[in-house]
Amino acid sequence: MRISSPLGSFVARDTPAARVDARVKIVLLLAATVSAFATGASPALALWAVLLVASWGLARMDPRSFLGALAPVAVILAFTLAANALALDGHGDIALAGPVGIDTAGALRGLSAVFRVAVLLGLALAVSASTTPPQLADACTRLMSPLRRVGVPVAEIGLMLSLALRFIPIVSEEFDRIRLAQRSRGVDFDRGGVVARVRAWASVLTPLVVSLFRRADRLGESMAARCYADGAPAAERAPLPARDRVVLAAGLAVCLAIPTAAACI
Amino acid sequence: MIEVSAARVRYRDGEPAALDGIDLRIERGSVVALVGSNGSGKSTLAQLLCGMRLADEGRCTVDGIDPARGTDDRREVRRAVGLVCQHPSDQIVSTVVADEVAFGPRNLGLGPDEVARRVEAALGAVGLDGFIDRDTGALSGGEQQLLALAGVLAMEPSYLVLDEASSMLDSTARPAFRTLVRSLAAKRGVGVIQVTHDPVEVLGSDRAVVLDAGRVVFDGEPAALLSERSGLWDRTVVRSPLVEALRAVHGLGCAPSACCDPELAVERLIASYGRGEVAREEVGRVRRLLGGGARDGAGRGDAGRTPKAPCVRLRGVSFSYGDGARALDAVDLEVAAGEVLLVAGRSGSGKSTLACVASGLLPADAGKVLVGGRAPRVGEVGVAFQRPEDQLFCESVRDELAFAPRNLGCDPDETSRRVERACALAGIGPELLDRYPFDLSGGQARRVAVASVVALGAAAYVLDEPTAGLDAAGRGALHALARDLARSGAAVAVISHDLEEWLGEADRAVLMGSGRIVWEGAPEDLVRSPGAFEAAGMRPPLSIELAARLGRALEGGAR
Repeated sequence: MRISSPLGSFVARDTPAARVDARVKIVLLLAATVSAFATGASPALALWAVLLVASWGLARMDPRSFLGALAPVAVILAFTLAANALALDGHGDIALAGPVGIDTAGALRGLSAVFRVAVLLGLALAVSASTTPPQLADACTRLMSPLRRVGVPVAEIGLMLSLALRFIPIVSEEFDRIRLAQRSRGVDFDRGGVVARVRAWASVLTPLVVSLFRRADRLGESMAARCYADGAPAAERAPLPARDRVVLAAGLAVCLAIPTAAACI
Repeated sequence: MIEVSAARVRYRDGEPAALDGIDLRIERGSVVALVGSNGSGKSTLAQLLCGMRLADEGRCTVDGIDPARGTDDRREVRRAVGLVCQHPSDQIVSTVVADEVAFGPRNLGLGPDEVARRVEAALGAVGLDGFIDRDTGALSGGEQQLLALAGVLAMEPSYLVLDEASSMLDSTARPAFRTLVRSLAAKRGVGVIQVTHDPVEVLGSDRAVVLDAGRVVFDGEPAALLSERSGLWDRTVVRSPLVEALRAVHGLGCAPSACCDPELAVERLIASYGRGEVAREEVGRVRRLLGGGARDGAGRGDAGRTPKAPCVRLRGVSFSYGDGARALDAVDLEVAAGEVLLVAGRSGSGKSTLACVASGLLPADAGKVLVGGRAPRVGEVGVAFQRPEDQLFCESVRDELAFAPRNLGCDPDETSRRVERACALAGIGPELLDRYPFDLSGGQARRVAVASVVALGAAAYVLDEPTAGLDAAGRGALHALARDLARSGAAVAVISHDLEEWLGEADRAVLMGSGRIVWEGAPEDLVRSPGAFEAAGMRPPLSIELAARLGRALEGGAR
């Protein structure tokens, strides 16, 4: 039985974005996050849209996947927009009905906030679509490696991250499977009061947690059988190739330039 | 050589020892089948052999290295003896194939070039070349098990312990896995220890070791186990038409009892028949045995019973999971009250989806599903999914069995009536009712879980791979449960990728391929329909292939 899950479905493709070192992509994503929020509400914001389209092109992404990812946050984004745009005390520039009106300055503010979130989501998707989970985990380990000096178990965190990325789809599949099984035993998840519903979900969550513990046990055992011992071998140092350094420098420069340009306009 | 001497393992004080004085030697290059019922100590011994557990008394050394001596020795034993378990999803740690195979070599502290070389070599050895960048989650079950094997081979082990490693594979993936294992032993001199219930794997091994209550009760050639200790064989190895046919051929004297290759035995039988040494009826009898028919008569329902009205009816039913591909494509199917229907097909052919749609758990995109003439409501078709013991969650077996009737709103009297009936059908004694479900043995937990679905008192049931992972006794109990459910008037559909096991138990069979029903008919007719398997994208089971060969020989003889 297949139960589709959008998570953990990386498709290996050789795209220009996939060839960039994962560390560079993570640092640039963080820089873009800061930079996008530092960009004031000005025409310069449009530059982010250009960057977004460019990064999708480099990752050879299908814009439809973006809409799919946007769907879960659409409600929050719509609320943000409405909360900023609607004026209920009569100070709105465009009167709608009675005291209710639209505040154009607020609408603009809301729109730019929604726009920034959407851009960042799009950029994050481009990173995840062009990077395998092991690369992602490996990059995080390397970026965090200075923390090893203060006693942070960086290699273990990296392995944990990698295992988590592997197990998210498995857990969601298991959850769906047990839910179907309990429905077949007559559990109705949509009826009854709060107590009945909590009880209904307990029939799914209890076995799920038990089976996850068992699975964790078996996984730990098979890792030990493959000679995994406490303290995973430290990742060897891998200096960034020249090309990735250029990409990093150029990316950081853009992240600096856009807010500056926005401030000057 | 792996040498086990006087090894004893006890999990808890006061309980009988899991291993009670084991002496065993395993050479490189040989294939040893380790058999025994659930709880006989097979898995404990498997863990002992690969250094995952130390003996409380006695010892186990691998090429002279004793894992009890220290951490380094233990690591070396774990490297030298690779372990592959039943579920690939419990042993795959990474999302990318190359990274997965590299896990072991990296733990050994090897450099990147050596790791890369080993990854490539191991993937080549299992036939997964070209999979290096693939997502591990997107592989089929068979491919995942090959990947798990590659991950172990990359550590260049001298021995392999396969703990029911092929039991979750379908009948098409399994022969390939077996062939691979044999070639690893023959070409690379790897010593293979396979824990198994499968008769074909036992017969194909160089040696069989039978465990019972933590002791070795047989150690010798599989042929000797089959012929000289047939009672022990029947208790520990799953029943198979191949074994029945093999015994019949031995009985006819066409092949020496040392010959335990069913294919070779059938060739000998055909040769003897050609020379006129064997009567036509005898060849026909072997052929029927291979077709799963004419077992002990306890299996099938009454041959002359009148056909009943269909209980579950599917008309042009289609379903897709929203990824474009059709999981079910215009399926027409009827299951009558009182019959056991076998639904077979490769993994991913739509069998489990069919169960969900037929029971109303998933809505059909097109077509009609009717149970007793109406669209099914929850609880009208009981579905026992794969590994149903994973859904147990109550404090006692009694609560677990009462869960479904209570959900349906039954009063206490009716609830206890249904619980009693489920207990009777599933053979659950009163001593089990107050036990904690998580403390039950594998076979008991499976029976309780299936009974907790049977307690619905439904008109129809679907049992999805009900015997996967069970020993011979546990399987027998489930076969009887399916038959008794049908006798009590329910329509029963059994989903299985193991045709050989269920063919003799079913009244009717359907084969599925790519979401369609590609063949439908009586089990004995399947033997005469070679095209059916091709249409389902399956390899016919060996027993059916051999039955067809005998059929051709008989036709040739008639001319």
